[in-house]
Amino acid sequence: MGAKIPRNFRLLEELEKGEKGLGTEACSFGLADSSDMLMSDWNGTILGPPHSVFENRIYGLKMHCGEQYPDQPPTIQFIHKIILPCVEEADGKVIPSKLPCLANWKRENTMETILIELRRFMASSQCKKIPQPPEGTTYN
Amino acid sequence: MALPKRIVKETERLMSEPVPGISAVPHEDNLRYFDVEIHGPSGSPYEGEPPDNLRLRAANYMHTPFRGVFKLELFLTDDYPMVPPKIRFLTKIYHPNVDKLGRICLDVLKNNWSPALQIRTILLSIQALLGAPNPDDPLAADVAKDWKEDENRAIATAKEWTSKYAVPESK
Amino acid sequence: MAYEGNVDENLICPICRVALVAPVITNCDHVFCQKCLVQAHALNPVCPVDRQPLLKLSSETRPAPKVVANQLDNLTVRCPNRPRGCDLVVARSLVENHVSRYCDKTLVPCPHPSCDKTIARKDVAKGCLHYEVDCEFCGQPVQKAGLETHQDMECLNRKTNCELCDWEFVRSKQEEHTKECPEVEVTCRFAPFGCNHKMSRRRLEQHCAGCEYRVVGPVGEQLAELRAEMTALKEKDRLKDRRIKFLENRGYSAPAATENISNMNLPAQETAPYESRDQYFLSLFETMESKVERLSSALTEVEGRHSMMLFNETMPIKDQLTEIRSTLGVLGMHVRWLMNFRLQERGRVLGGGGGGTNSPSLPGTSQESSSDSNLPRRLSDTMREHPPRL
Repeated sequence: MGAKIPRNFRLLEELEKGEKGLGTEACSFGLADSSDMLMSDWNGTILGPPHSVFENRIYGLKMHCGEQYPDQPPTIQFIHKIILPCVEEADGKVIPSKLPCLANWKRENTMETILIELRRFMASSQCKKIPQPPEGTTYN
Repeated sequence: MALPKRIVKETERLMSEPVPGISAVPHEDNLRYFDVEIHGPSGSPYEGEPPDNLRLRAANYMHTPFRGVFKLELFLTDDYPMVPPKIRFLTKIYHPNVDKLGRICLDVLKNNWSPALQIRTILLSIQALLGAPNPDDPLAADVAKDWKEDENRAIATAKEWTSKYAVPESK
Repeated sequence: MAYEGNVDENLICPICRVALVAPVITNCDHVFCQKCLVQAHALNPVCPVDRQPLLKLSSETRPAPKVVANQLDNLTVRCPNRPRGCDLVVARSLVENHVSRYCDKTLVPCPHPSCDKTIARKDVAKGCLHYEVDCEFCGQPVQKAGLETHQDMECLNRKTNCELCDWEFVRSKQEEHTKECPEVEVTCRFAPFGCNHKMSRRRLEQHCAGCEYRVVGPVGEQLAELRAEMTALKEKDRLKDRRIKFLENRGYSAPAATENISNMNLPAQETAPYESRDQYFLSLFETMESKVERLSSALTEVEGRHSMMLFNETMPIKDQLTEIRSTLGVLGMHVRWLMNFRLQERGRVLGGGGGGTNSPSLPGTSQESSSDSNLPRRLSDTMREHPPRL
């Protein structure tokens, strides 16, 4: 085990990666408030995977990294209405116990890890046919 | 993983012979992670001004000049000293080479890093940067623009921010 | 590598901040460890100190002058096996040789072909020691290879030296040692009599010899002894008391009624420890009552026995008396017959002049005999008048 990177520098690293667009093009994320010194609130987007009910839709998400990040996973909430087994129907919150990378959170996981896994989850055979609410509706 | 000798030595020296106006203290649970305080250099907009006479008198009485105190955090990665330390301001600062998240644009922290540099030399460079802002190599474009258009106003804003945010914690 | 003492700043590599190892010097006259410079150069091909371009290391650096190397070689270092017990301090140029060839604390691969662990060189000849044994001092399972370290550093049962007196004792016996350690602070032996002095146990004797309470001491000791004796005696006395009471209760119940023994014994045992004074008196009263009862019964028995004895004794006397009485009657009859016979003979002599040979003496004798016969008569009369009382 090497040096344990502190929360803020870890988030800066993730931010740089997100800003430079080094991640996969289907997912992106950035700080919700670019002057937030604490870097707690983040926005993410997932492009619906092809050959599924989500195709061509863009899903917005809110992510919150607490003080204990990355020792503790962030909380994730969909902005756009979506029906998935791992998402609370009422408010769009991702249920940590139902998404493997949140349930078995590791320090090495990043926000990008979560977005990619969510997208893969959407593309899985059990989810890609679930009827979805009209495009663009939000939870408020 | 054992802490490399160099980091141990640097930490020891930072503790036993601190640089005037600079302090760096490692976290107990992560000896590569430092809490840093840099006093704004005198004559700069980051020097800070006593908000009232009482405070000035108190400061004089304590024989410590009242200054703007900027908090930073510093992290030595696994590759240190081959790569520069990561460092960022925690205190809001109005400076053309520091962005809203406190990231610093300084050559020695980027391409001009040398493994012969140390934590103390880097912190001194940052202190010097406060005394000599460089709007031609900006990180905060809007601040640099202000600085170039109306330096006096920018300096005033820097002073204002200093007295607003760079306040030493009451102990 | 731990250096003994401070290393001259000029011999320290600007990159790793410790004494130079295999120093190289650049064309711009800066000295680095060869390894450090290679690493730094790979990231940025400039001199780390003055940023002069260093395009090719091989052409722009050379080994540092011999004088630098010699100074470095003379630095003294601690054997890196110090944590494992090697305390050697040696010139840096020699330490590698020491560790790789001589230091018996150096870890080498375990000689056992299927074991991938390492072991101190001195234990190599003992074969694979990577199995668990129980520490002989504390009984905990420890790897044989680490047994020595365990016993030296961790084992609670291993001997250690007392901080105060340097005495060696088993670690787990610390408390016991404290009780006898000559350096531990103790109170004066006469503390119970008022001495407030405290001193190390070693000085105790010395203090006691001069303690102003030492005069009081022996007296007090004797007093305490006596007191203890007294309480012991009191206790004994109490026990005896109870025992006596118990036996008394048993004593009366035994002859009274055999079938009641158990019943009678029970209360006796139960009352052994008296709960109150009233109860005590009650039991005392009961005891008395039973005593009285016993006495009265004994009395009647004695009376009966006496009358029986008297009866038995008087019966033969009575029998003898009647026998005597009948014998007396027979004797009387004999006497009367004889008297009558004599009187008839005398009358014949007096009347017919019958046998004159002994006639003059006969009346006399007859009178005498009659008077004689009166005597037994009188005797029997007295016997009759005063019969022995029964």
